[in-house]
Amino acid sequence: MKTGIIKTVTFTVVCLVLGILIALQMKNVNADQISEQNLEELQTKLIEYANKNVELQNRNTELYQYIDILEDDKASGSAQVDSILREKERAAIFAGLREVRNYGLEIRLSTAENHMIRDSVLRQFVNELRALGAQAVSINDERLVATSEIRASGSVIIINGNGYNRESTFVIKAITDPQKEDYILSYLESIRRSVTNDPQFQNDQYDIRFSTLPELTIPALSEDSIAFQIDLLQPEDN
Amino acid sequence: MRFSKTSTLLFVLLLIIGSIVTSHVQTVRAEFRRSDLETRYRQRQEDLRLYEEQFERLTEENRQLLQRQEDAIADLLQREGQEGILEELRFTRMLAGFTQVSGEGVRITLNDKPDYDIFLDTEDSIVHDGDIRHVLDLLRNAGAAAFSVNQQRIVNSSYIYCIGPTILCNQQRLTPPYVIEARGNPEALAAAIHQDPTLSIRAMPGIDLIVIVEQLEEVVIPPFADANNLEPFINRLEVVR
Repeated sequence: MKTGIIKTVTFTVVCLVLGILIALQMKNVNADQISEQNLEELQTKLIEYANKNVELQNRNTELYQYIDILEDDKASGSAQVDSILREKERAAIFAGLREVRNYGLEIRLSTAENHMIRDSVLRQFVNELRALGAQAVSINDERLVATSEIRASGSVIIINGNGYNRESTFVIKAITDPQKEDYILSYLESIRRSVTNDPQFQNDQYDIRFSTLPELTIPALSEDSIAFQIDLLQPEDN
Repeated sequence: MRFSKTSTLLFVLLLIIGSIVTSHVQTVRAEFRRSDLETRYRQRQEDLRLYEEQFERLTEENRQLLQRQEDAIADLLQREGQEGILEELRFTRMLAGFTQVSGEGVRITLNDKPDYDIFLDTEDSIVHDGDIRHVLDLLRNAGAAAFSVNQQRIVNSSYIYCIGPTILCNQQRLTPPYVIEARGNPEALAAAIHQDPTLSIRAMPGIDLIVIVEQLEEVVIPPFADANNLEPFINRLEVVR
């Protein structure tokens, strides 16, 4: 009788302990998962924001200084006007309204006789050049701006409203960073291979050549070019 | 030597308890590490919230400063009797993309297939950098005068590019949905998107890429945010006089 009670108590205690331990284990299994990877992603985002904030802070400080100069009644008017003119010139250069020159590279594209250059191939090179940091780009001496169309229409490709024969050689020029020459050329080479190996372009037999030049000139785009669509940019109440 | 059923059962139970205790000790150790990770994660989340708030404040301050700068320039040039320069400056800034543009246009929203499953769905069901570039090219060719992607104005120095899973525009990280707004003739711009075979295929059932086209009476395209920091974009351009 006594042995029976001991056995029952022992089993009860053992089963109780077992039950508690199993419950504890289950709790841990269900605990939410925060991994080192999540933390790393969060840290990367943090660094990005920290950098952006520093950059914005610096920009705002510069703006305060510039506004102080503009609002300084004691400063000479001509010095202030000169600084505005310099600002205007920089905006004009950025907008593509000035003819510019420097080290750069040239891409010449042609196809087999009676085959036509595709607009998508030109757009691909232009997009890649922009991503590679080109500060000015032109096709057949048509300066490209953000709204420049590169569109095939029958036997011509229209750029900034002007048509260029698709059976002729197209020349893309870009002003790029000479220190990145190797990287840029190897990247463009991979684009060249992807175009020439693309089955849909096989019959066109693209001939794509690159050359770097110590100095090349890219013309300005006239401010009344169709590419700017000035009538749509103006405030509507004007 | 014989064991009773009770002893055997007790032996098995104690063995189970032993192994669970061992596992629990390991789990508790891991729990300490996890708890530390969790604390650091919560802390970083809080830091990020503060940084985001600071970014919002600085952006608003920047917007007000740019307005103040424009007003100061206008006042000064009027004071100096140089209204002509003011007009030229405004015009040049407009062509460069440094002014807000508003009016009729379209809004194109690109997004990944809802409930995209990396194992079941193809890569065509998610938005790539090339898709955004493709939409911009279609809008350019249809006569758009100005456009933005997730409120980033597309200007001469802009490019859309991906590094790993992140799409960048004007050095800013973009996250889906990708909202492209363009100023121009709404019918012509919308038709260019609707009639594009590539996007039509991607939006078909099975691939289900989200492509929403809205024709709007007013879209607001923001100015280029880096307009007062042009040096990195023009430092290699020598003007030919």
